[in-house]
Amino acid sequence: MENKMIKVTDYSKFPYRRKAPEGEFSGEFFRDTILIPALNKNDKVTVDLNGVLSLGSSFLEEVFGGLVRKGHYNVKNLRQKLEIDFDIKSYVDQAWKYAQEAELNK
Amino acid sequence: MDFTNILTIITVIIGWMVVSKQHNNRETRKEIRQFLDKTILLIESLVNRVDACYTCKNIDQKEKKKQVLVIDIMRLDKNLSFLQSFISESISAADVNEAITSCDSFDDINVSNETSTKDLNNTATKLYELIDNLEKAYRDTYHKRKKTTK
Repeated sequence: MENKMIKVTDYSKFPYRRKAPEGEFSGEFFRDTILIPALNKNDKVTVDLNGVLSLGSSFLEEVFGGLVRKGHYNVKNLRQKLEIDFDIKSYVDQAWKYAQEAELNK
Repeated sequence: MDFTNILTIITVIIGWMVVSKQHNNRETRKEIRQFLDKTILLIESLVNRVDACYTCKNIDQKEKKKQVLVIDIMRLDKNLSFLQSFISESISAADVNEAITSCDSFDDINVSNETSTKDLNNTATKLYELIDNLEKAYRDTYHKRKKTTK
């Protein structure tokens, strides 16, 4: 068990799509095939969003809201395991807000 | 060199420092105003492009419009991050980003006119609120400073 850093720009510089059928590298794809396996295998995971040229709310909601909504994690566990790194802090706040809203709406 | 000469030199130096500082402040204020104006133009341009994106019925074209929009939202957020160092309030484009990209008209190509109109109205409201907040933050920062220097 160790710390894992996921650099989103290794996959896409334009993450904005929500669902897989909408095109390459959606929030759903990132959550299910990259983030959840990393969270399951590691004590701590850092999602590094620095360097992206766009970041849609749909993508953020599907990734971080979806983690909670789909029952993979609750916000408390997620805060212990997951760190989101991005220069513009409002996006980090927004990602956590989506996770909290997903928990409230469950 | 007598005392009067020294006093004159010190007075000239202090005067020069004060004038120089005021000049720097004025230049900074002007540069921030210009940057703010460019940012406001970017926000205004988003309104038209959001309209074109929401009402586009061609999948490929809509995808391109979406991509350009989200890039410009990020540009806007970077501009706002820069402005935050100079204006009194913390302002982000998070609400605007959410309004533009988290609605049916952004995700779906088969939305009704009624839905796209509603989504566009909501987005335009957020964009114009952002402009108002930026103007207010600029006024609060620089008008207050101006009063204190009088």
